[in-house]
Amino acid sequence: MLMLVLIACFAGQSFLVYLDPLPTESLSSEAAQGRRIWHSRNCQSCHQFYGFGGFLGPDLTNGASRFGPQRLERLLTEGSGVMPAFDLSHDEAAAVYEFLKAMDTTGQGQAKVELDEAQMKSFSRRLFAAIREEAAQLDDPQVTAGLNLFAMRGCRECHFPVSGSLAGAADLLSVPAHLSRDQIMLVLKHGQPPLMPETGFSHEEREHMYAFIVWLGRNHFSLVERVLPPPANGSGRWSNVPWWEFR
Amino acid sequence: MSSADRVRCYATLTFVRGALVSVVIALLAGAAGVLFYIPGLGVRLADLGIGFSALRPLHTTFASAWIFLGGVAVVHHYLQSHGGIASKGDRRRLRWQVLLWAIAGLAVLGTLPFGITSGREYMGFHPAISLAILAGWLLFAWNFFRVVGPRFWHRPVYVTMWAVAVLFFIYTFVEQHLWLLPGIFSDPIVDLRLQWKATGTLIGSFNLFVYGALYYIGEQVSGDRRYAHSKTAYALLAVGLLNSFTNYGHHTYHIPQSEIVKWVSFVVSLTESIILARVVWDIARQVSQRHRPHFEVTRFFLNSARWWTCAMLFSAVLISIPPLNGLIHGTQVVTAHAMGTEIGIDSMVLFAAISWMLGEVIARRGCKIDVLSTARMRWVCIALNVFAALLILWLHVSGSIVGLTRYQHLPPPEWLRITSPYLFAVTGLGTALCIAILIGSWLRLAFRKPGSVMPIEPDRVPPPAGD
Repeated sequence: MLMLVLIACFAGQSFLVYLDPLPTESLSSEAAQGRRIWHSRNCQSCHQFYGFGGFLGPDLTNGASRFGPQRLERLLTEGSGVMPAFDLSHDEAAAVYEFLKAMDTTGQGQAKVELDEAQMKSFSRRLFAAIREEAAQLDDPQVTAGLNLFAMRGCRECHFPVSGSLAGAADLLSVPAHLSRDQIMLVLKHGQPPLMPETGFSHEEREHMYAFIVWLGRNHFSLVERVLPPPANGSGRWSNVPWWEFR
Repeated sequence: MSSADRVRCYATLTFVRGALVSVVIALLAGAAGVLFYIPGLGVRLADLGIGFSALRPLHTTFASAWIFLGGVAVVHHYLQSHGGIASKGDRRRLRWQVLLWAIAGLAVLGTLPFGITSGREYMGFHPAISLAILAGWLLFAWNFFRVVGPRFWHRPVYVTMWAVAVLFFIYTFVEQHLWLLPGIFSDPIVDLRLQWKATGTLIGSFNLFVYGALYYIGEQVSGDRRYAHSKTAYALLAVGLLNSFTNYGHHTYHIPQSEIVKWVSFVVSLTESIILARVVWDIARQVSQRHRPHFEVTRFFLNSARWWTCAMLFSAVLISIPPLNGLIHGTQVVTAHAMGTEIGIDSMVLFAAISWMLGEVIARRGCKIDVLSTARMRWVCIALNVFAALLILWLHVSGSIVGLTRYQHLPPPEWLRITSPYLFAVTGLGTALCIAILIGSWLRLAFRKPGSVMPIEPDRVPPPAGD
């Protein structure tokens, strides 16, 4: 009798999952091709969807909201930090991007408190102001020189906001966590065509920029915490942690 | 001893060897994988052609293989005394089972490092290899049910557990491959729902093997047969199965899916804790009442499993609470949960089982010196628990901090970013080293030819007085 009850429970649970009425969307043929590439390169060994996968790289459920197709193609074909370079054509990289775009529409992959929308609009400007203020208080001429170069030599056009750039430029606050000194200096010297042009920095200027970028990485937490908007609608940060889906 | 008995004994030893080899491969892949988290080192390893995308599936595949093969070894040990003489058919199926699984293991080793992969979690190897695994499993099932018969629920609870696990595995293993159907593959959310249902129940299947091994070894060591027929034992079976069916849901709280599945998972997951902790405690208490020197390592690991079970159940209940789950989802807390249960519960039980079975092998060979329960081994076992506890604790701490800061749109604190890779590496490698020393000594015993002289261990623990 016990076994029959248990089998019935298993069958019931299975049918609940198999016949779930919540609607889903099938992938387009291009996105399905992107998914095949995702599998064949075993991207899930380092990346996650909805928290499932390896933890060496970030969760990519909403990755398509954070970077555009050109940036993704660069990452895939040139690698970044421990992420290897893959031998993918432009069409293949585009297919992977279509797959990520499709995943982005399914929901939110990570729990994040909803922040005040009005203040979020000025977040990047306030973040840069905080960077200026903190750097000015430092007794470090290299960091100050690097900040001035960043502001005056056009870096700000793409890397501003420093995170979530609309131009798809890298988040300079988190670059030191992922790239070695040699990798950063290489980019500072040669740029990353076609998106990032050659910088024309002299050796000394590259050292200043490197010092500035490392300083940004070290102070990432405090800089963001300083200018982070409050939760939306006056709610507490912890009172609205979701039980089920994050969105 | 008749030739048929020798066949069943040899089968047990074969699967013990397979389990030990699997855990060595899992350790090597895991140890190399940990190094990728150290800044700068990962890039150098990648330049040498050692890819994390190969190491991770190697580690997870052979860690799962270790648990399944260890469980199968215990089942074969049971069949030694209850299976009678192995028929010609039994022997033929056993040969094919071993051959198919050996081919599967070699195929995994020969394909993953070259990028031939399915790209899936836990089933990272090419789907063609699954055919060999499944075929070998069906042969194992045939041999098992030929002995226990269809009315296996009248036997001790561990036989029922194994029987359910054998059938459960077949179903869930097939379910793991539904993604090969075009309709499922092209709908990633449906695939995620099925994938985590199947993965969770696959883990439930091998947990049943381990719990069955726990009951069986506990009964053999203590000599007390009552527990395996007790109401508590069957209550655990029922609750454990219910959890196997639904508990995966705490991985899928946050994917688009009907809420009823998630509520069922949440409520059922709260029930497992009390019963399971009680059972492990009871068994460890039974075992500790008998003092025999060649059971010392066995007793140590059963006691360890008791404490680990309580600790990991506490963690599991916490992370099954949906808001907490949301905060730590996708962080190292999940790794802590998976590794803590695989190392602390499943592996500790199997270490106990294998040490006990190897003790029998040594005794059968007429060797006089007990090399399993030396003072050196005792220190290795203690160090293993210490390193593993530090590893799991650190993963919990770092994952919790990452989850809490992530929720607030903040990056992890700088001190965590700097220290975490090294703490992970030190505790992980320390754990791996202790397991390697343990397994190394057992491998030597498991592969030693009968009749060979056992070395004298100068630091051997003397038997308790009056034993």
